Amino acid sequence: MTPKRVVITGMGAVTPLANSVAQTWKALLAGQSGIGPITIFDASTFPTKIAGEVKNFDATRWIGRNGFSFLGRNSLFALEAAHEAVQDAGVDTKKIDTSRYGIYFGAGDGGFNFQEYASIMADSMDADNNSVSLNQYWVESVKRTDAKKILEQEPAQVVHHLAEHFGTRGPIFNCLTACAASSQAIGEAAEIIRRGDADLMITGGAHSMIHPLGVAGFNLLTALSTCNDTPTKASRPFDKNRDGFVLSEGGAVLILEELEHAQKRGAKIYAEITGYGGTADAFRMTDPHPEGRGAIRAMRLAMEDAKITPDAIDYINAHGTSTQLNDQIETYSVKQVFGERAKKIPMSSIKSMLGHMIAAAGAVELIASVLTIRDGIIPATINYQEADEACDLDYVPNVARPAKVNTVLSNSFGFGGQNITLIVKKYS
Amino acid sequence: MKRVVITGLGAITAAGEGSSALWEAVKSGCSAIDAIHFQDSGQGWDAIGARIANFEAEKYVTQRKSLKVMARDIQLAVAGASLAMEDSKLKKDGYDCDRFGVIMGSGVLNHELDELAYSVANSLGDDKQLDIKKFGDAGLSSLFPLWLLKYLPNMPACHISILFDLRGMNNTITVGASGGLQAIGEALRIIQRGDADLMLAGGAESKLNPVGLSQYKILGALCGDTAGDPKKIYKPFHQNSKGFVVGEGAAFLVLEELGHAQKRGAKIYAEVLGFGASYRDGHSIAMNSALKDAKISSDQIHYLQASGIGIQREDQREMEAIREVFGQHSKNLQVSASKPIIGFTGFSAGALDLVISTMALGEQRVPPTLNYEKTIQETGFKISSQVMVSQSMECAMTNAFGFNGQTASIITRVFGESKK
Repeated sequence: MTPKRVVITGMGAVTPLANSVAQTWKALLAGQSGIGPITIFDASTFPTKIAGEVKNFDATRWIGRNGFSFLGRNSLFALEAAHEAVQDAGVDTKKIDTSRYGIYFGAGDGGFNFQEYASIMADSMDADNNSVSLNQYWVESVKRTDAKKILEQEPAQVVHHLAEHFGTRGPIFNCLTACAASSQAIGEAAEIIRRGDADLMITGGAHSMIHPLGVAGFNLLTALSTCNDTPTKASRPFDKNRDGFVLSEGGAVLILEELEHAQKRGAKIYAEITGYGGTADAFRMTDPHPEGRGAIRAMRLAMEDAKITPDAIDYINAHGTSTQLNDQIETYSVKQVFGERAKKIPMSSIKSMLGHMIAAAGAVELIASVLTIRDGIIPATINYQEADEACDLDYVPNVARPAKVNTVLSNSFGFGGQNITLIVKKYS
Repeated sequence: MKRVVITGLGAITAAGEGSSALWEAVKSGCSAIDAIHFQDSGQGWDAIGARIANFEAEKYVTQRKSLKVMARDIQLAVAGASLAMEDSKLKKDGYDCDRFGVIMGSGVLNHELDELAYSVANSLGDDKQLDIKKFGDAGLSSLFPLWLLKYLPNMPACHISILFDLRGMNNTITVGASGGLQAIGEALRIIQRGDADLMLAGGAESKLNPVGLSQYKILGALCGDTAGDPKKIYKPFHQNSKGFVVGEGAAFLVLEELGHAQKRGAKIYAEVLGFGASYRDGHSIAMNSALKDAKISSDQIHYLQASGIGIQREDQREMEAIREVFGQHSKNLQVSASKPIIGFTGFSAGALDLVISTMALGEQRVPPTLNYEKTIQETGFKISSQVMVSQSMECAMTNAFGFNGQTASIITRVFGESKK
């Protein structure tokens, strides 16, 4: 059985730069930064006070619909981005077999009501203030916690909302592999279509960890940039003075479709997904393997899957988080895979502008890769000022660059050692 | 397309460690559900549940440093995976670690309250409410530095990959109670398409704590009985069922490409034939796609390990879907639900049920459904009330339905060369 071909027929995005694909793309090409001071909560005493927040988002069109009286930021961004993508693809559930219309998403956990949680804990504290009376917590929590808010914490809730709203009845998955999640979701969604188990898949990711426990957690791991005075310059992948990633939020959705299904209904075809590779470092919880063991193999597996050699890659959309270790090891890994040619392949990180959307990062990066192919222009790595000896590739510094691009390799590496590489190609 | 077989079973539940302990409890109808006391209050019980008593995580995680960054769910996951590895007789130098992956059901892990207590206490304003400014300063710095890593959903699969050096595909499926079985379905696909020789697949969950239990209670899914015999309260498919009783545990299966298993002379429990998944009211879609995937018809299945979650509305949906899918063959179908033995275990529930149905296929016995007497509605099929020996039990179907609408089904078959 020959595997089916998988094409992209719709895209949607909600990002710190704009709330649509077109506007986000325009801002990316202009080299704008979506990073600013945190306004979602008072972060004035946190080591990191900046993030890439989604702005001017109109939640009212989603709240109260389909009975959702409360929605986490991840669900809101997912619904909005999916709405744009489904419209863009022109999917009409009356004209398709909805049992062959599925979802494979990489949504992160939803809103966590830390204020309420802490308040219940405070009221359940033992006299010494060092431990919580479990009986008391149980009693208080049952009395005071809101069921809808609890449900929204679970990453699965995002796909429930999507399935409910868009009427999919095919396979429904959500994977959460940290920063690799939405890339992994796209890869697996493509596999479902390749096998012939679905005609159409809604895929991508949505996440917001811009909440007190999220920022605190990453701050404790010393993973975040603390360039609080110069937020738009904080995310500086591959630059010598990079000091950590910038947390951001958003949603990005792609509609994947079996080629013949797309042709039959006369859908617009953006590009074809031809390669997917996934590995684990099996090394440490947060540090990547020092010799890029898993990253190298993910890139090779993806190219093998796409039946191409490294020569075919015109552009690399980097994971490029702006942490010391990631950028150095990603550079090293790319050099191992591409040899001499590595220095000639443009490789940029749009996290320099968007920050790190965590679970949603890979999907927005794939959208940018697709548009790079369509428009023949590569988005830049902004804030690149001082070269680092360990990072010596062509990072498309500061200014977008016109180029003929047919095939893009996009990397996503997760905390926990999950490495995902996707390959997207001009459709012909 | 490659054929995939089960060559290792690992389970840790309140019924004990190892798949044999689980199977013995299930077969003999010996429920592990009991009263739960959060603290010694000396009066009544706080809740009922199937708790793993005296769990020694140190047996599976030898490095104390690692243990410190593992929530209980992660510890259970590592234990379940270790038991499956041990059962598979795979030796560390006996596999290509690049072609061995991990995929499991997991989700938001509950915090240990005391771990946050000191930080919260340091962050309270005069009104005893959280002062976010204090939290960003004194509160944050009184948290354990690796705190975040202890509760990230993908960390169980990460630790398992490190422990056994598994460098193949690594994924975490976060779709609730069907997550474990969907992870196994994904593992099946990964081996079928040739991306791995071996996959450790399953799930883990521990919500038997005030945070987890209160959440289930607020969602209205928890059986609220506060008196009676704890072992008799959980009643799937029963007309008086009042919700589920929570358990904790992990289950992992070693899935292996057939040729790989034969070459190393592995013990083959069963072949995984088909998988299907769907969403809300898609119970029959999931079951039918699994049948289609397995290329068999419903009359070839005589035993179904049901989700039987014990919530009336959900059980009713499952029963209707079974009747719809099996039609006139329903009368030859024996259905069993095992959750009254080990409780509802969330992300690991489907994986545990697959371990049970695999053992059942091996022994050609359908386990009883404890506490089942009166049905919600006329079923048309048999719900086992005692151990039944089936004349011909070649294939089994295992269902996992989340109470939130997700549905997954897997079909397994007794392994035999002639049955290609």
